[in-house]
Amino acid sequence: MLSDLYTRRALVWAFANRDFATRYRASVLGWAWSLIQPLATLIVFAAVFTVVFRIQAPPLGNGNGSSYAAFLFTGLVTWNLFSSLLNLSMSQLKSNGELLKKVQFPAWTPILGASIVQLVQILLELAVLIAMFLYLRNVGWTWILAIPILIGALLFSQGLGLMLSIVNARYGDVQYIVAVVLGALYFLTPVLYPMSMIEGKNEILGWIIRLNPMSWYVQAMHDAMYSLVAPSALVIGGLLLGGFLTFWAGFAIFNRWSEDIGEML
Amino acid sequence: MTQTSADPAVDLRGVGKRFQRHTDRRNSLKERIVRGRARSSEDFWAVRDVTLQIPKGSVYGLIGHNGSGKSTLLKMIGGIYRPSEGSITAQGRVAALIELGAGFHPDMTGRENIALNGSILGMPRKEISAVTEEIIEFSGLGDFINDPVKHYSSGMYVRLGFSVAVHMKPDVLLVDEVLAVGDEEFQRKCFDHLYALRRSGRTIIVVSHGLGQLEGLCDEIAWLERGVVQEHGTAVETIASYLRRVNAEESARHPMVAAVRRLRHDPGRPHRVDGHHRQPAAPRPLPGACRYL
Ligand SMILES: Nc1ncnc2c1ncn2[C@@H]1O[C@H](COP(=O)(O)OP(=O)(O)OP(=O)(O)O)[C@@H](O)[C@H]1O
Ligand SMILES: [Mg+2]
Repeated sequence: MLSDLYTRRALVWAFANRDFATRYRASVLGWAWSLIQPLATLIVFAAVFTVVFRIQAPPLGNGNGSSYAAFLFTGLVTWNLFSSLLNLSMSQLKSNGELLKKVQFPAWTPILGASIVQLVQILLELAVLIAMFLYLRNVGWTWILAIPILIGALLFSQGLGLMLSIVNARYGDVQYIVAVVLGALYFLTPVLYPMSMIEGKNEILGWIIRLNPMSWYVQAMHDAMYSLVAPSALVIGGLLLGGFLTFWAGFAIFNRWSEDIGEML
Repeated sequence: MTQTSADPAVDLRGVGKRFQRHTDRRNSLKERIVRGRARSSEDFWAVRDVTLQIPKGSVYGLIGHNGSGKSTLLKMIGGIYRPSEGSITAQGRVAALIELGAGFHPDMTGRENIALNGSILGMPRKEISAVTEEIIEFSGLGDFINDPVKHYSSGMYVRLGFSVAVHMKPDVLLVDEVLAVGDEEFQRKCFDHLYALRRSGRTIIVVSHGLGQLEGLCDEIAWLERGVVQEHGTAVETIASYLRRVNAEESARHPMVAAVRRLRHDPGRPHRVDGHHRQPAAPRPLPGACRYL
């Protein structure tokens, strides 16, 4: 079944091309706009949380003090990857609805196509993050570990995205529930604050955060990119495996449920 | 001309499609929780018990009133809907022209849309680039091919859509009321092309309210009434029975009109039959097309 991913790659690619060509065609600055939003978030949050809430970021891996902005942006990039893939996936069935009603093709192809385009955005944000760390001279071999972590996060997000998009096609209210849950989950993921602020202070909250899979991906990214310590092989393996299994399950559920997609939309 | 091949291109056996009538039926979690499973009394059969063998290399027509299930049947053959009962076997690549240019993106140029639409219809990339020039040539769009399709006239739009679809060389081509688009010149070109497709052994299934058009085009026609096949057979006979029924119904409703019509020996023009908008009057069999018959 996963072999369909390979046999239909041309169609996925065609959708990616379409989305890529049209996404920013109308605006002169093009991709630059896509970076303004996360950077604006970064600036506002960094200002508010360091000045108003006086959150102290953990020490940088190079031992030269700490940078809340860099800490925040590491988490933000990871979180954006997750939430953008989820939201994008959920909107694809509707936006390609007319097509799905008239032509027979696998409904996951436009979803993956859109995600491929989003991948460019994610890579741009990562480039900014790397530039930030280079400026801070916070570089280490552990950066390599970001690759498996991010692959795991991508698979995890996409699997969940496929699952939720097809459930949403059947029950239109799912997107509202997801919006609410995503809003809450954002604060239950150590993006704005380090885990050390919770640990030992509020056990229940700590457990809730630990039960949230995204916390693991974000924390692993903090370790590898910010603190320059290698997460254990168990953690990295778990994140990869978790991502793969979620994707596999999401893909299977999507295929099972999308057989009648033409009449559902 | 009508071959009854033992090995039909499309074999429909007891095909039925059941829909639920209410659109809010299951799209809301609340509805589902409050009302439970959608009640079966809301179900209805849009297509029921259709058994037809469509011979390879033939042009097959579907006629019937609005809502009689023609498009639904076509979508099932095209794999867009799954039949609720019965079985459908189609041989080879099936392409559905349910709506021309359905996959076009307004901001992309005609050329870019050819590539996209071809992939959506299932053409391998190599094949697409091999026929792109041919498609552009056939569409007659000339330099406009490099303009975004949002600036196309509706006729230009469907020209391109038709060109892409017929150049994917489907074994079975499903055409739902799209033949009446485009100008006279392009329509003839389309007909010519359909005949050429058929001569190369491909099968075409056409839904149309243009009865005159169908009569010239089809070998056989099936007439659907509330989802059930009322009659099927040669094009001329099926259309005649269909018209007889429509006229009988009309005279039952409007005796005066029917009487006048009888006086004028007018058998009832096909365009009185179709409720469909802007269907041009049925053209006489096209000279360009006839030479293939
Ligand atoms: N997805 C759907 N959900 C519920 N009912 C549907 C759906 N699609 C079609 N129907 C119903 O099935 C019936 C047959 O529709 P269909 O589109 O097949 O008619 P048609 O013969 O093509 O009519 P027309 O000549 O107007 O094109 C109609 O009553 C229509 O409301
Ligand atoms: Mg129809």
